[in-house]
Amino acid sequence: MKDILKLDKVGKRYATSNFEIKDISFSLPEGNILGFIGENGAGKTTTINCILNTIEKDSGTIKIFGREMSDEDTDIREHIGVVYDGNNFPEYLTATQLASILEKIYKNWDSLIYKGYMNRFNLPESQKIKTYSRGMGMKLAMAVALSHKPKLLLLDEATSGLDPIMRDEILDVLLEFVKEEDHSILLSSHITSDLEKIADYIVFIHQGRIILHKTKDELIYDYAVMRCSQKDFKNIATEDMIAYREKAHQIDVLVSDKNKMCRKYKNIIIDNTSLDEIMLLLVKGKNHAWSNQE
Amino acid sequence: MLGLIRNNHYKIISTFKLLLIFFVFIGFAVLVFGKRNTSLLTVYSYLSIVGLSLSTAIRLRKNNTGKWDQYILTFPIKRSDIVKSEFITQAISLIVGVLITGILFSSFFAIYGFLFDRYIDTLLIFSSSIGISLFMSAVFFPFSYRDNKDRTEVIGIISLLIGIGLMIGIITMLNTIFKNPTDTQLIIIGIGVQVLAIVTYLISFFYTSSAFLRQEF
Repeated sequence: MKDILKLDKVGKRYATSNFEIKDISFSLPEGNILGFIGENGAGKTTTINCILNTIEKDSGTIKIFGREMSDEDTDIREHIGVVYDGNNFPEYLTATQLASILEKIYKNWDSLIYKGYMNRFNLPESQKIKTYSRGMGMKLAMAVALSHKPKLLLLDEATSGLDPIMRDEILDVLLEFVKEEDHSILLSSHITSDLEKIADYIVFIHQGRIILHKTKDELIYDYAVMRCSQKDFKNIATEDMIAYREKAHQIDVLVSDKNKMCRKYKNIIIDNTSLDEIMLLLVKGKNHAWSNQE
Repeated sequence: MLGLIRNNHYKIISTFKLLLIFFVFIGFAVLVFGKRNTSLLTVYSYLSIVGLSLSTAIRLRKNNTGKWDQYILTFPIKRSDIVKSEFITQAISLIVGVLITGILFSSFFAIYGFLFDRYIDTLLIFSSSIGISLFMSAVFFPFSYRDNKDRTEVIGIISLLIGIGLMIGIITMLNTIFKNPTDTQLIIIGIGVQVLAIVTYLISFFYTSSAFLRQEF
């Protein structure tokens, strides 16, 4: 499988805030969805902005369709669909006016696809965008992102703030999109349940560093949480622990090989875990590899 | 490019229409009630040509709510094209202002006859008002692109004052050089001012484009 998007040791530092992303490396193969997770301010948007060239990276390389994208490479951007969190479009436009602008900008703009999505999402075309609800605005952004037949979709918190029904509708559209083998999606979100439904890969960014990059199946089926007492905890080998977190009467230990741990620690309860729990343990817990390196 | 210009059109059209109606109305008033007053006609030409340009520039650069300014950078267009589209839109609004004023002048002359001292005065009025508009725009765009606090109106007013100041400076300098200019010299001066203003506008475009290229969102 070819990589549609590949980041290698990307770094960006903001002089004003001192925030930086460092050594960001991951790739997105064709036909896959990559969930880019992390808490607010972890560096997801900065990474996406580096990919889209709306900010200039300080170091590393970013290849989209095998090429580094500069301002001049408009042909690459023909194949990228973008959805940002919040209002993507100016409020003075109607959806029809927006389409009349975009059909002159994108060579592959397909009015029939656009109309199809507008009908599917029940979006009024002649109404000013400023009258749209947040959910309608996000649906419009999805319609726009898909109407110029992109191969790569970059969605930055596109489902946040939407109700479960709208989120589900959007996730369905994304799953339809990746049915095409050469289509891929990078979906940044802190709503991990969405990513559990659709993502193939999970990249977890924390304080500007990638601390986890796995397939979703590995995380869901192999990763687990051991529910230990203080006594049990002392018997767990350090190398088996990715992170642990002390609670009132229990210590939760994140492990990466559930079956092996079940065989090794027969008396300890080992539960399947969720992306949310993994995220919490990695961020709030102790003794994980990435924090030891710091 | 056409898409961007169309977007600019949608952005400015509501304010532009209002101003257009206002200037047509005022022009009509100048024609009907101004009688044979050429001073009113002169003031009108400055107001309509410069006023429309200033309003268009401010409206064009007024920050959009939401992510549009960032989103537009993900389109398959170069950043310089975004700047170019705004300079073109600004030039179109200037042409519209000149046309309205031109129509008013023609109507005035058709009704009352030519009342200025010399034909060349008309050329100089147009030349200076177009010059102010171009100088103002040339100052306005780079400053507004560098500003990240949405102080468009303030920058607009300052640019207008700089534009007027530049024009006064040029006229003063030319008056010092040519004590009693002939009509031919005045024509050359009028055209020279236009060329200078256009060159300044073009330099401003290249400067703004290069500044925008380094801008981060």
